[in-house]
Amino acid sequence: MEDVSPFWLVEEDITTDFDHFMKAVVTVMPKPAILDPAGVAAGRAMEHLGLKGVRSVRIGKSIEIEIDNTDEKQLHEIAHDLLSNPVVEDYKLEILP
Amino acid sequence: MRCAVIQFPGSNCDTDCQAALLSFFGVEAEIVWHKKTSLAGYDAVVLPGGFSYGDYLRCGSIARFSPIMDAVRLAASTGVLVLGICNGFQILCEAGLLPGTLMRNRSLLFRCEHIHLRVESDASPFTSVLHHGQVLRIPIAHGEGSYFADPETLRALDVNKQILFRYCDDRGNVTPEANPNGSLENIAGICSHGRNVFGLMPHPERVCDSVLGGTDGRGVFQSMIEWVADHRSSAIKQG
Repeated sequence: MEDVSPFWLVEEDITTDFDHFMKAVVTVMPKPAILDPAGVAAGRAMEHLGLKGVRSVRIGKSIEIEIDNTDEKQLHEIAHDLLSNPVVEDYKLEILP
Repeated sequence: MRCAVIQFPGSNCDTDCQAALLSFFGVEAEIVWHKKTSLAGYDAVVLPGGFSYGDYLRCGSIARFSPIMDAVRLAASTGVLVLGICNGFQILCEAGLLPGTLMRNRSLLFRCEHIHLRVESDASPFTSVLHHGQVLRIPIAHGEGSYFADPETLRALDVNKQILFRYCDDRGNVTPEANPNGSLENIAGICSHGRNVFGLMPHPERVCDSVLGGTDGRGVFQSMIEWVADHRSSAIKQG
């Protein structure tokens, strides 16, 4: 019979150890002093939809990482050098149990 | 002059740059894939416009770690001319070869149109054939071109005359209305402290011949060619 398994399912890509990995979440936000025009536009839309008293809206991003071993120092380096731009953004690293 | 045009996955102005340099200036311009690790033998390097790595994460943030970037850094440190256009400018900022960063346009709109630039300094390898105060008409095409740097960096850029181009109106007045993206101080292009690395959001390669609707972009490339020729001949004289 013809092999019908999808082409992207390559054996070596599949993690077989489902129990022992950690989850890290990096939250990247624009620095407080930085104008966030997308946040301002989203805030206006909220008001348009009837939400009252919107004072500030800031849009950032959240990056979830599933990883086998957590070298926290290295994750901080990655968050600082790659995931955020320290000129205009701050990051927060959380390692979930 | 031998010029490398770096091609990242997602670059889309690479062949434009190469064609402009080859056809209008007779420069030996070669496309160099971003996985290469050497730029030996090139007098100049161009990081072209486009959407390297789909602009994922942030514009230029992933391209900055491409293998070729160590060679670009080495070339920059040895005085080779490095020109970053649009996405190339974003990559140079992410790589720390130029200070500051380029953020989302304040209007949130992708701006694709001709704008005016004022030459703020002709004392650089990229603007030497232009003159201070000259107004150029050059196209832009970007959604993330709003230049930002902290106040100390801005002051240093001003003091060292590293701001080479500002957005202006057609008579050369630098006004908020002439600013297409919200860049601080209408900044359109800056060079490094050593003056051999230059990044700008407008596309000079698109206006290098009258068949393309303008020639105002020629000055940038002409300046580079003359600078390289001068430095080559002085290098030969010094033996």
